[in-house]
Amino acid sequence: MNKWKIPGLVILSTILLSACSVNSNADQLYKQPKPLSAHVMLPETIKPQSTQVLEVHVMQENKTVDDAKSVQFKVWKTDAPEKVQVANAHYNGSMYTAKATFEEDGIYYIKTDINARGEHILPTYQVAVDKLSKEDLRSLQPAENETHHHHSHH
Amino acid sequence: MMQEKQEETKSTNKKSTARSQGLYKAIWRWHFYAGLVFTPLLLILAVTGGMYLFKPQIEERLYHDLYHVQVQSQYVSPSAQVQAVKEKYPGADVLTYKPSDRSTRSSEVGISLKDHTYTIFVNPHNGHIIGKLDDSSRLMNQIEEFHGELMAGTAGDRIVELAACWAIVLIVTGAFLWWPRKKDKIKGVLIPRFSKGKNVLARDLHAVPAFWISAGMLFLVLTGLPWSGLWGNAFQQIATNAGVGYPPSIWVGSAPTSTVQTKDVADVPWGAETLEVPSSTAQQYTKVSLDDIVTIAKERHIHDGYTISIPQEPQGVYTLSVFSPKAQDEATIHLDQYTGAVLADYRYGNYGFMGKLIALGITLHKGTQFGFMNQLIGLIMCIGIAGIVISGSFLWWRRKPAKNMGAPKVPEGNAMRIVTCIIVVFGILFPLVGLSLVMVWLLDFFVIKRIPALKRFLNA
Repeated sequence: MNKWKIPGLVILSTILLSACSVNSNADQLYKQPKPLSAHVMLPETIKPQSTQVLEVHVMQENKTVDDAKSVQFKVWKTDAPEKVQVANAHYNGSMYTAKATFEEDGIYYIKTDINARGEHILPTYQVAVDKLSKEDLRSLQPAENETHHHHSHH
Repeated sequence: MMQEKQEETKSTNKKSTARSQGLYKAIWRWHFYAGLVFTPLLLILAVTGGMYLFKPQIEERLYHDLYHVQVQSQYVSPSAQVQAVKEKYPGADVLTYKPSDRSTRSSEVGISLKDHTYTIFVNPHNGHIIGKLDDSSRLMNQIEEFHGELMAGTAGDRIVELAACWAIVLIVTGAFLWWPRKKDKIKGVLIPRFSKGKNVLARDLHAVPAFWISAGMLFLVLTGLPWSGLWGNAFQQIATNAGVGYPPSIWVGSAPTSTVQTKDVADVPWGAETLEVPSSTAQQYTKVSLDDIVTIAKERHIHDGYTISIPQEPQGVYTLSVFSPKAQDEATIHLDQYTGAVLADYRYGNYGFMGKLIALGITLHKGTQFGFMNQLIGLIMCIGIAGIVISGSFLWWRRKPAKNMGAPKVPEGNAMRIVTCIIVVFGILFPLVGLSLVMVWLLDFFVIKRIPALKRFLNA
């Protein structure tokens, strides 16, 4: 009986200790995701009534993605979510680019809708066109781009 | 008992008879005390479990008016539905959104308001709020809490776990006591003996049905244990760490995190950063809208009835999860809140073999895997367990002498020690059982052994 005591204790305590928490890299033992990431490049300043070049660099597992099924820039003004400008982007050898027009001053949303290799991401930015009014500043606060009162039909 | 004793005296070898009788008594003693202590708990588990099995039907009845809406062709976007809830309950945090899964079903928005969580039912066709339910007051939640933790939080959870572990002891020792000592005997083993007097019948009405449902009972205990707080949690963690359980975040372990994109702003000279606005608004990325999340959910063919958990922290993720009636349809998907990128997409097929077993065990335990038949079998099990518990108490009550508990005497020789050793091993596998054993021994050593009257009463 005695010769089992020490190994028994060791095994028992190993089991108990390993049960304390889930290893932080335990997820590597299961299905691994291959998420896309996007680096969106927007102009430094946007003036009203201007057409701007929008660019996005798409990556997967730290490598450039050049075979995206579709890359679109969707642009709308915060107070007019039903008027969405859709610009199809094309690959220029390193990035996907498209042009979009910004008519008025105010806050715009720029949603980059990327479909590639079975993955779909849609990073969204808020940008200001020209000077911001106080009202615009206030509406910038909660950074959520929910399209309220937007009705769709099934 | 007399029956078995008579049979055993026929045995030629006197020594082995004494030993097997000793063993029988030792096991009987364990069965006796475990049964006595855990009878009320097992009865509670059987009754609450039997009710909880029919949760879908009962809730459909109870909340019919909240669940159902008139069919219309028009739909309101998910974010507009959530907005309607926010407008009605301005102080609330929106935690979850569960889309309507068919045209006659309302959608559900989970909110927390002043330390309570509520489910708000919204008509997806017009965004009108149908009504709200306080989650903690839902009948089925209360029954579940009773079943899982006796409505007593962690302490209750441990007691239920203890009862479940001891139920295994009861099943195993019971099977030993039931085991036919004579070959080719059916009566008293597989069918009760009705013509051998009331004492025999009372024994058979406990032992025979118990044999019939013992496998199912063991199954319910074993499938229930993985969700227990102490043993279950440790078991799940070991399984997850070994790569054979649920992937992390489904039961134990944390979810992946969203990459907080604000930091990018500093080294990128464009976008919001150049604006003269308070730094808190200079988030380059904004949260992906709930509408886009629902689109992604559809694209990934997640099973209907899924819930979206909305991130509450900057590093949080959107989590889509569905624990469907059938284990094979389960899914847990984590999405980066700023880009919608899939950080993890775990389906049943991605579970390790132990995770698959646990998941199937859960849906079978809950009676959802095979629909109504599954519920019915579960109900029969619950009735059976209640019956065995009651017939066991009845058996004890009938045999109990007036002056003591009627426990079998501690047998002489090694038998008790062998059984005790086996139970101790069991106590190591299930630490709560071990802990309860230590407490019983302390009680025995410091109290019972020192008070002759108590000692006599318990036949110690």
